[in-house]
Amino acid sequence: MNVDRVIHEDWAEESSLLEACLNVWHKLSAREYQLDHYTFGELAQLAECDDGSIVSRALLYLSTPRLKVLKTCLMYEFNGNFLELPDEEVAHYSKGEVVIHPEFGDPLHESQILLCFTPGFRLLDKGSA
Amino acid sequence: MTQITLEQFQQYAGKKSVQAAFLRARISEEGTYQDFIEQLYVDIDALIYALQASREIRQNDSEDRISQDILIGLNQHGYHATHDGKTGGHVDISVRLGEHSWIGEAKKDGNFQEGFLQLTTRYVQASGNYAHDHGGLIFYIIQSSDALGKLNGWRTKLTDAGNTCLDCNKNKLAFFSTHKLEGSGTDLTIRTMIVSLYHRPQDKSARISAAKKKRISSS
Repeated sequence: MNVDRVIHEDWAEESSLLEACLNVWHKLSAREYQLDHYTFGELAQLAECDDGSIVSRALLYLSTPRLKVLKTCLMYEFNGNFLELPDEEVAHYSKGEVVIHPEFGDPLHESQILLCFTPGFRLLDKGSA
Repeated sequence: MTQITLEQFQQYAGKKSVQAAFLRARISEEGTYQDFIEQLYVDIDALIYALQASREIRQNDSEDRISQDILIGLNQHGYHATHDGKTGGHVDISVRLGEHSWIGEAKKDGNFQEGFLQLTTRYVQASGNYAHDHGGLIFYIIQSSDALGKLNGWRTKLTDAGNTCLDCNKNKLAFFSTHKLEGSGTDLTIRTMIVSLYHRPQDKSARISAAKKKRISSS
């Protein structure tokens, strides 16, 4: 899959999104090693864009099953550490249902959940090639 | 801002968009075919509503141009949507997500029967799997001022031919029907959808503008 071509085809008529997607893809794929997690702020810097709505749309797009450059990840706090929410809780969120804290069993408000990104198949595959 | 909460991210992207993105990712890996179909129709409806909201600039668009905009919209959501030449001909919209697939035939102000026959006798799912038993007919209606009337006329024709049709409770200009596929003998559930693009404003400024255009073109 030619990621550059796909991004160009999908965002030909939205230049700001096209640029943000390409910037993130080029800068991440050029790295020799990938981090375990990337924050929104780090990726916004790579996107060279300070419009949060454009960055968020670009990151969601790069995390789609079509691109698989990134993977979205939800995290919760436990004993001062941030841990990934289990798939089951993420599935509840995606269906508009309440997310439950895996240890405490209490509902988690969206302000208590962090959103970050992990390298997706397209970046990991590149690393192993 | 380095870390972002889900709440903050949703403020940028919209809560429903974020939830749908997680849902599509899950469907592509472990979702059922029914999960896929439900989300696909939510996404197609959103694209249809966007087309209808900009109907005034769609008056001269070709069938392919309108279909292309639907394909692009689906691809932006993470589907693999193409004008597919490998499904028994050139089906207008072929969609894949993970192992799931769906096909759709589009017609502009055209022949409902022809689109129906293409979908039920010519094309097959890109996956080749008859368990993928949903498809769609999308009609772009620009010339008619009564899209619902057109849809109901087609629905009556199907019903008179012995097919069962069911209302769609999400889109007012859509309904479901089930048909036996030639060859496999399996059922295909078709969602017939209208994109209502008729635009002939009758207010005073529209009439003045139309008169000016007419004068320019005749001079």
